[in-house]
Amino acid sequence: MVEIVQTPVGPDGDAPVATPRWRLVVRRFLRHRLATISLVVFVLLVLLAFVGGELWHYRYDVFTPDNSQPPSAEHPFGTDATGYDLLAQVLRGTQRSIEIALFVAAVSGVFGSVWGAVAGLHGGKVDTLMMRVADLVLIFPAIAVAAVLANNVGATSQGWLLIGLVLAALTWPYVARLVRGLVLSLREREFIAAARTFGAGSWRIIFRHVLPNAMGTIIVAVTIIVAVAILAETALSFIGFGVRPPDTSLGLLVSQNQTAVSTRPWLFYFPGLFIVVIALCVNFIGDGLRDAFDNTRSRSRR
Amino acid sequence: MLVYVLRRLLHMVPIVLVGSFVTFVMVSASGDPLGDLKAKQPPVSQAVLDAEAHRMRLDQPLLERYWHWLSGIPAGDWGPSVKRIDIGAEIWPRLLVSARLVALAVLVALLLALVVGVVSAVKRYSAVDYVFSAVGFLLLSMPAFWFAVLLKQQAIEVNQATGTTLVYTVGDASIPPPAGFWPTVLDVLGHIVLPTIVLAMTSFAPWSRFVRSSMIEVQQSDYVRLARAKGIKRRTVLLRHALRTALVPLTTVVALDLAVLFSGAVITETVFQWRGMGSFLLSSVRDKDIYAVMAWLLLVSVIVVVFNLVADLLYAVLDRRVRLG
Amino acid sequence: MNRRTMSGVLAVALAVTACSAGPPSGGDTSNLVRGEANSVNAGTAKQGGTITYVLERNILNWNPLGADIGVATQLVADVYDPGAFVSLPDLKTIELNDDLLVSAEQTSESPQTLVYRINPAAVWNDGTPITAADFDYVRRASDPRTCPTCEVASTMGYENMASLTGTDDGRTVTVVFDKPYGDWKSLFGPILPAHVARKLGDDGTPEGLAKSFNEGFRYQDSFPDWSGGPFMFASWETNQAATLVPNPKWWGKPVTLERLVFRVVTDTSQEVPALQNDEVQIINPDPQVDLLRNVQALGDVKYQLVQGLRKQMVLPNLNNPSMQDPVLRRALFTAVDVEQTIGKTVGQFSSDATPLRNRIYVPQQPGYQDNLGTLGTGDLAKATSILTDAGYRIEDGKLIDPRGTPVPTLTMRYIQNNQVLQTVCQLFADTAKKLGVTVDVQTTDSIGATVTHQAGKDFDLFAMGWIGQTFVASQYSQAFKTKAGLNFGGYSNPVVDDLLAKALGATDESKVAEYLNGVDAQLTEDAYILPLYQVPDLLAYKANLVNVRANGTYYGPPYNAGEWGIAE
Repeated sequence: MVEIVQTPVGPDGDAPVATPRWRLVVRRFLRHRLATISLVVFVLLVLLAFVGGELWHYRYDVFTPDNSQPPSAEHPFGTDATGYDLLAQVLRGTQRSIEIALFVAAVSGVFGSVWGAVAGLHGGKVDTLMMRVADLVLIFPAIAVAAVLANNVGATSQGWLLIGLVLAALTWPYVARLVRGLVLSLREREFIAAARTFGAGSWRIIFRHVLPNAMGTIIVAVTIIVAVAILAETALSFIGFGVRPPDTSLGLLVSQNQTAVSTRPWLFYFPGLFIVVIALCVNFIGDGLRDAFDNTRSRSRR
Repeated sequence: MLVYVLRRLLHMVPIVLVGSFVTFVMVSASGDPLGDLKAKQPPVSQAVLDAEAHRMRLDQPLLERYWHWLSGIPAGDWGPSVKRIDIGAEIWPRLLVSARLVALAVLVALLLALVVGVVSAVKRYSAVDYVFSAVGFLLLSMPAFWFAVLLKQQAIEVNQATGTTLVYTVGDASIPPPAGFWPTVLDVLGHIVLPTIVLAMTSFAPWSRFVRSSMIEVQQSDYVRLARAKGIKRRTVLLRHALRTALVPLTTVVALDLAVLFSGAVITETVFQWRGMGSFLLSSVRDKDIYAVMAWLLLVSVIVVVFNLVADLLYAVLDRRVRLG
Repeated sequence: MNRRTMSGVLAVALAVTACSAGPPSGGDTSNLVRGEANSVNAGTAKQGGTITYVLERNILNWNPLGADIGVATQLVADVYDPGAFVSLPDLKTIELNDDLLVSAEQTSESPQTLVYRINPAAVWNDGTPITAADFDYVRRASDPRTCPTCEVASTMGYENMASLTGTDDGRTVTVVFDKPYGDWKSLFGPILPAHVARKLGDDGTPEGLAKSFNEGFRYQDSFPDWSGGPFMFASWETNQAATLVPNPKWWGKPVTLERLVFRVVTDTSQEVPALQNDEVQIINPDPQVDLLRNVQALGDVKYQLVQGLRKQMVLPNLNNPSMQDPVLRRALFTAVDVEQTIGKTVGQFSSDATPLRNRIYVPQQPGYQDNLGTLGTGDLAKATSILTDAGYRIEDGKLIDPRGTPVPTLTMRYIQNNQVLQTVCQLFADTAKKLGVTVDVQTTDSIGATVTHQAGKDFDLFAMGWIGQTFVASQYSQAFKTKAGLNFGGYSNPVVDDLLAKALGATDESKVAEYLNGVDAQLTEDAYILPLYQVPDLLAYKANLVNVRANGTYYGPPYNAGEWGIAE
């Protein structure tokens, strides 16, 4: 893995300037067609949810006089039994789901990577202690903890943020474990040993050498976490401990309408479709990023 | 090695203790176990309420309650239940029910993930890879219960089309059970197939992606290239060296996912109305049955910790480059 | 982009499937079974067969008279534990259980005296005759004077008893009261076998009695091995199912079924698929639009949709300062359009749903009359004038009270995951906004925690279902009397207290109705509680079942399970 860091390494153990590397990554990412399309779709979805939701002439929490209408020009996604416009609800739900997912991924990705890298690099007692803490968190199945906590926090108006926090607090150790595992293998390698010899500090080694080399792993993990967070929110809503009405999320919409699958299918499929599309986009973006970071890909293969 | 295992086991004790204390505080703060009794129509007398509060140890301070609970565990006393069930007697059969489901799902998911992951990695960018990728991505992106609801509907259609009840949607066995050995086996299989598919599907997708990416990574590593350069057959390199190295991170992922699988079982058991750990947790949380929730958390966390230890050991066995600290 | 065209195509495709799904309201009613409430779906059954009935909750306490039982305990008790009277599906008839009793009469008003004559053929399944001892066991356990620690659901009536004597070999039971009790038909529903109680610890002492009642009849790790009804237990697996077989000693109308299974299915959404897959044959879920449509789409399934005794209400909490002004409550409740609420909720699947205009009686009962006045009419102008007449004013869409302080935000709760109540609350909030009152809709995970005003779960307004009973005086005296156990809103009015006491003591039904309607009118005067509608009761079953019928009372559909069978 070492020799493929193609740019020259300075004598003081410094990694090269970041720009060319990132430019390379972007170029490679753009070559991944599916990932590029997914990114565009994802950005459009975000815009649609956050801007479109404001512009749309129905609000998610205002009843319309039309009950249980199938999709029409007036209500492109139809309405539910109480007359809510489903498009407005789906857009609002998309906002919430994206907010929760990104929040979870960001918090657990950053925190977990640093935690894992520090633990792995230091080894010894520090490593043991840090990984025990991670273990401590990991032994809690997310759904159980979230269900217990939801009794107190879920019902408040900031419930979604707290649900995000709970999910992040429960997922960061996954990243930490993976990164640490990788670092354990990496730290015996020449370039880290070299950096140490040149007297580089731990944090410098972590940020300049370890994390960039672990980026592929981190990205894959974080990507999975985004999808996991969206689906975890869905699962929590299904068992009744997720986002609470009158606020809404895609998970809540799907679970509220699960019995409608054959009778008023629009209620079940539109929010479900949004979940699948968002999660698919995120997964493809992650895949593209992975390939882009993956320096070892030989050019001959494509 | 033995010293390492013993040391890790010793390390487990404080983890589980600290974890149990944190959860105990959390669960205790989550609601009043007597809330529903207080709202009974017609109302229950204060004497009954006081007796209940005493029985549930609510008249003790939190720390004392924790100690009372903890010190009872070795003797098999899991604490009083709001519903007056014997938590110990209730939870073990349920653990078996869930363990059967989880173990089968892990097996199915692992086998599928290995086959699909390796094939996709080896035939990277081929049509097969794209199809597997597409399926994998789709499964990764689907809410589990959404999939379960659709699957169930399909299964019922199949039953009705064939005019038989091959697969069942409720419970883990028929009541009353069919007579005879083969009918019983068929009955159990008919009940387990749908939940296993749902539970396995949630893990299969990420695992196969994981196997694929680590296989690709390993394939391009120095020593595999070196082995190839030495003229060792591709197949041998793949199975003996690459797969082995790729399995290293997978063991960690699988062990870590046990907690996820138990979470997934909560959903699966709800949809298929199994009476395992999942429904036990949900009903206990809803009924504010503090000690029942604690029993669940303690059991599942011990299982997860033990399997993480096993994963770490496997890690060491599979990847000799890792030093055990 | 691409996505847009895609969703366009999808929208069209879905619209097409939607059209084929049936008419938008009411649905396809060809499988709906209507008829006389107490005799619908009557028929002759052939010998044999198994019926599986869905229980929505697990059973943790088998004692049907216990304090902490759920509805499921009663549903199963219907088939093995006899009581003196049964509430029939028409919601008003309280019928003598003529298997158990030849007669039950009030022979004197002062002192109130009851005489029960037990059917000479009545025996428990071990051959022991059913006698006055079994009645006396219930009395001893239910009267705090004889058993202070027995955890009974209700002591009402029993605590008024002066004596209970058995004559005629125990086949005649005479009960004398020292204080009259109007709802006497609610007594001894059901009875418990005294000879079994002795085996469970009843040795005549209060402790032994409590042990047999609290622990014995609870059957913690087992199930009742006795029966005085058409069925008796063969097995019980907690959380899974109870299997019952015909009681060989049953002296009543012969049972045709070979087996009756009560299967626990706790997630309502899973009931219809199980029915469709023939894993269960009878379901009684809380109806909801899609659930009903799914039932309607099943080929070999019939259903009954009737009005039950459960009432949907909005309860104000008078303990909180913000809800203490009756003017504000009256204005809010007047502004609520109950018709519209029904139209957005139960009206979509039950064409019979109409506004409920009485807090105590339902229209099927003779005592029902409209006592609500302007409440629930949705008359905004009237609501506004109620407020302005009392010195309130609306400024910038905010309601200011006569002292010049704005009305604070009100917290309205409903039990989580109940979409119907969610809609009720949101419509209420919408309406309140028009009066300048902000209503914050929240859920609660525990009705108990909310009605007992626990921190963080307390309410200003609570949308809740009110369990119905055919014995109204005893139930509602608990709900409206000052500081009574079910008085969750903290209501107190001496006029109501007095009327309730009179209603409880009255033995003439029309007198009782008069007093209770007085109570209801006073509640309207004080704008306490807004009733909305009766909760519809759905019973769906395989088309070949006979004598299966919806019963919206506490007894539930199994009230006549002994007659259930498979059509010839």
